[in-house]
Amino acid sequence: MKKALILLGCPESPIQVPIALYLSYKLRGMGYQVTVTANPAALRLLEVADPAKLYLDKTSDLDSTLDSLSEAEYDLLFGFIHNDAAMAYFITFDSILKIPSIAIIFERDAEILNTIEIEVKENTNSHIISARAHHNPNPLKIRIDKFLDRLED
Amino acid sequence: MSFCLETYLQQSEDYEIHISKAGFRECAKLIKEKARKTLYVKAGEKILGARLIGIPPIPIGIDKEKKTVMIPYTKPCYGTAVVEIPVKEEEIKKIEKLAIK
Repeated sequence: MKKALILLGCPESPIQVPIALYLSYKLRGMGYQVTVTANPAALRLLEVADPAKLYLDKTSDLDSTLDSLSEAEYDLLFGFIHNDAAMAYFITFDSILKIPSIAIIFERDAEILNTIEIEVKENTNSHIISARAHHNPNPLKIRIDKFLDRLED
Repeated sequence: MSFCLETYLQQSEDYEIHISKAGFRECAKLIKEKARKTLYVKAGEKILGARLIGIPPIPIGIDKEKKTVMIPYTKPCYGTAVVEIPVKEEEIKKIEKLAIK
């Protein structure tokens, strides 16, 4: 079974949890074993939203996941990036794993969004899914759906 | 026993924070400007028992006289900080071995 890792950032953005649950659900449907890694605050939000684990598969603490991470431990990496710290984490995970990766970049400020996109482009070979977004998950959902459709083909 | 950065920062007050809640680039620039000597490592390299997070190459400031190192330290909700920590000479030697430039 193929394994996907979803890396979350700080949970301050309202759309991170619904999009992460949606992505986990879609990837499970495509036959992936999905692990979501995040800090304890972000994991608590996910676990409360999905107590029966209908959408989530595995969850893991960010620091311990990073500490034991090794090259090609997963097949696919998704990173939720809406600030500088999440970008730094994503680039680090990408550098260690050396696997196909997808940066999901979202911010309401177009300038910050653009800066993050440029940094990710310059420092990884990741596919970039980005949208100006804060409360409305649809712009990202549509782009994720398009990407997953291509992945399945 | 090897050095553990997380435990050290929780249990000791003997460290200096040069900048906090900043962006990685700003922190990297500060290390390059302030450090006596700067070495660079790959992202995710284990330094002082913790993986360094950031955009590679990641700068580490070395002061052999003071026996300290300056490193970027990132947390998801707090951005990046630069901390200067006293270390044993052997830790500096380990960093020198891992350095890519």
